[in-house]
Amino acid sequence: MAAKFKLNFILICAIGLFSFCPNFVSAYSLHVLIIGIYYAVMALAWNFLAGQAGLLVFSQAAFAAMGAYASGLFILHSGCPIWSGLIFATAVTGIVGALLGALCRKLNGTYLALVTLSFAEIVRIVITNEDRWTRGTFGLQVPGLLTEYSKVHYFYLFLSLFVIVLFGSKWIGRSRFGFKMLAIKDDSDAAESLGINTARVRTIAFALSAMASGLAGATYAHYLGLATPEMGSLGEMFLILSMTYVGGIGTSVGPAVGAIVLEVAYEQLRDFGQYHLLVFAALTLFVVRFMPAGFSSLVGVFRTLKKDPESKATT
Amino acid sequence: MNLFLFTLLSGLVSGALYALSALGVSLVAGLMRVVNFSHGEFYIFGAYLSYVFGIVFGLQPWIAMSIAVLIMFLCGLILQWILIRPIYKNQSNALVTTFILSIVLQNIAMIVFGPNPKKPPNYIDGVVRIFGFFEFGAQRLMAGAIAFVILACVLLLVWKTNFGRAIRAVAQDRDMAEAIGINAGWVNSVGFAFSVALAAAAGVLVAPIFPVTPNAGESVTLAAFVVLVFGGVGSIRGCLWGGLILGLVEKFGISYLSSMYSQIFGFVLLVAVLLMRPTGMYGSKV
Amino acid sequence: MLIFILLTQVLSAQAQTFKIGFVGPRTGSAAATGAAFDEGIQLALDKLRADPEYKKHPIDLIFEDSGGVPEKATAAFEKLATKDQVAIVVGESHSSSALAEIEVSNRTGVPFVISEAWSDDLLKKGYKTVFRAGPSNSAVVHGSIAKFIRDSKFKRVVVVAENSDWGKGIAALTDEALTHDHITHSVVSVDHEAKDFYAELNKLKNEKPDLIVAYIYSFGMHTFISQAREVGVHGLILDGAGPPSLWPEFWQNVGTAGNDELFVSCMHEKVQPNAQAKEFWTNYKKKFGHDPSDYKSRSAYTAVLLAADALKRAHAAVSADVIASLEKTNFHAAQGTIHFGNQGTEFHQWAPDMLVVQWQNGKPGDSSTPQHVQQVVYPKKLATGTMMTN
Repeated sequence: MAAKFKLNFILICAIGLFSFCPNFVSAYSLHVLIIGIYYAVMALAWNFLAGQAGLLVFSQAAFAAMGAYASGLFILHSGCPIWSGLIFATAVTGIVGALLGALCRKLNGTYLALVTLSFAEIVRIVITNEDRWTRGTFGLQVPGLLTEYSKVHYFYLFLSLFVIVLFGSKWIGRSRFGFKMLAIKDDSDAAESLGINTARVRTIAFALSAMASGLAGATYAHYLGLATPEMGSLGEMFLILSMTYVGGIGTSVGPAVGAIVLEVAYEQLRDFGQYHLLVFAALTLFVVRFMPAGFSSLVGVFRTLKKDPESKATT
Repeated sequence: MNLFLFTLLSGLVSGALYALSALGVSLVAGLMRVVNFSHGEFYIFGAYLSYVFGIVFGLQPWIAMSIAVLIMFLCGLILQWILIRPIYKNQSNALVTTFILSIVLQNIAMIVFGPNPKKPPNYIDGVVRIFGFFEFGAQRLMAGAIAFVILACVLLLVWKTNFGRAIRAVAQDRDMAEAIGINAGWVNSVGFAFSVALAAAAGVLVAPIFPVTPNAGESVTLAAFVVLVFGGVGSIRGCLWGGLILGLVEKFGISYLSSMYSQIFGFVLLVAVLLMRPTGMYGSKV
Repeated sequence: MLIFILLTQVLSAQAQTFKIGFVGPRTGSAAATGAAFDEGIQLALDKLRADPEYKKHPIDLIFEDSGGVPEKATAAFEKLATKDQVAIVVGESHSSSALAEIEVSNRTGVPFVISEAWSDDLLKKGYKTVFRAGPSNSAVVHGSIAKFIRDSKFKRVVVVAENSDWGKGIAALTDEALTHDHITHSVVSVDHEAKDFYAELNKLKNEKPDLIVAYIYSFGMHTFISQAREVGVHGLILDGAGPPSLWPEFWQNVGTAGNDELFVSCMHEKVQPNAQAKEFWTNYKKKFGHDPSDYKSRSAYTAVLLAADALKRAHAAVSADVIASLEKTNFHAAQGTIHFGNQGTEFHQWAPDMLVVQWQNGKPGDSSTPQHVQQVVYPKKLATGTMMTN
């Protein structure tokens, strides 16, 4: 118990310090950090399903794209205030997420991956082709969230979103619902026999994860001023996946740290042009093959705290 | 009528090629319960090698193609030993590993060959007039025909030879197979290498028609997955039917519905099949 | 201390670097255009370094990859504006990238001179920071393509366009122009990344066109041409963008189907209107060892020289001054004298004249001439040869 308080305390301090960033870094670095936080939220949302519930899905990025377009199209065509777009996006992705979860309630492993992958591709293809509405690959221009553009304000907005998702997922993870997810991850049939309604748990988990992604995607699109189908591509899914694994899948903070660190590294490697993605992928391959618990496991080695079930990684 | 026949032929040719490229994935999935996400990348490397030997070294097209497939077979053996063998027991891990591997390979292709499409030399030129109805590229027809031939050969191999019997045994029950003296490890290695070679074969056949780019592998992998799901894991007949159906559905969709949505038919098919029969049409649970 | 500060001010005022940003596709389906841009940039930098007027102003040029897609383009422009803090950005070949870039230009105030993105929408918004010194869809269609079709008396035309911003825009304009001229025609839309055109080609075969205008700005153009001949579509094919017909892989991918293919261009050896054009041709040949073939290299060359010229005339390297300086541009370039309009559809625009060129066989049996030569077939007064039909 004390360990958990300690971790939360450290977390809060770290975030507090981090929030002073804008005073010390350039506008461009802030831009990079904002992107890093976006990926951190996506990684946490994916980790919720993949790490905590053991459901390796490939639909994460697609929900971000869905949220971005839902919000953008809603605002552009209804004339409602901008913030309502975010609410609309969260609602839409939540509903679709629940539907997908219900659809996949009996699927596992490879088949689950394939169906969620197909879902992601269907979403991307529809967005790309319905160009009368979405302008296809050429992106949909969406208005900014803030009436006056300020990178600093966007930074705080993203940081707030991050804090909500981080502590939200931690809280759920520790609740009865979280326990049920864990039970399903370990042994689905045993969980069923214990009276856990696996279908319901999975549906709700899918919905929550999708909502977080949808909201993140919408916010991101409004920051960039642009929503593109690329947001929901396999390439993006790869980035989310690699950030989560490198950070530590199944841990509560690992994915977020992985995301920010890798995004900053990605930016630094930018000058190496074509090589940076290769370096990334090779690193991830190394981690998955030799350090499946991610870099978080290194931290665990130094600390002699008892490992709680949350930080047990999938192999 | 003209359009119908044209589409039918297109679909059959396309279907045969899909079936061929999916065969490798099905084989590996059946043997090792590993769904190889980087399958498409073996396809493109086969194509790139055939380009290198055909254009850069100027070898005769058929020779270039054969060398390419052979080299990929060897690469398959090596790769299996380094990367696949340690992980095949764990399904999720294998999926993630092969997914990341595909990204690594895509980027290597981009760095080595550049982003521009590369086209190996044509192995046959010209146009064929089909029964006076319409014209069709000769190379496309040939590619489809060769694919059918290879499929038939593989069928024969698996059902009539000892090696084929060994593969089927290991796929069905690994421990039992070992108990009766089959070296499962060796079967795995050769099986995987063989699947890589099949992917490469599909690649070398198609590359002169559709020049190869570093990210062309993605759609090949995804199409192979659709066929896999439809046909079921480890079933060659399933691959054949799955491939043909995918090819036909896609081409008819393009001709009569919309050419823009060409890619979507496969995915919709996959989702529909999996929801109706979570183990695929012919196969068993992965 | 004060003296030191004053000295550095004086010194820096004297050696004021001109920071110029360049955006273009170094990756993606039109990476070859990025390579052509690179060549033009190098030649421009060589010229500027040798020019004594720029001794006081060393040029720092930063080329960011916009990848042909809007998200990369946004990131590229953002980086140039906020991280590198360039005084001006030039370049770009993709309309969709440019549409994203003009938003960042408008937001950050960094002026943007578009070189080769043709969509008319780019200047419709009337952003103060955005200029174009290059072709536009309407200029190309009304100034060249529609006239060419009319004057060459084509009877049945099929317009095939990729579904990009550029493709849709230019197809619509062509459609309008052909309707206006009462020429039988139809319009077909294709996916801009499509590799297989068999179905569409088989369908349009029935219309027996004598001209197919293809707006496909990628290697898809090569497959389109070779597949057209495979499926038995006759009739001339006009590449409405230009570069795909000039990429080095063209003949390898297209084979004999490339004979008699038409394409638009604004550069040709025998059509050298002024000294700058001749200078470019000579310098290119000297540096790269062969004739220039892709007109985009010359566009980039002009863009960089134009930017340097504008910065030189500006009072200071701040947005408002650079914009004012751009508006006063009267620059002698290889394509002509660049001078931006100041109202209506001409606001901040200048477009060069385009030519229609045809690939024709060189002298067979004469190994000193290349196998395929570019012949200008339109406008007639600049033509170097007659158009071949098939």
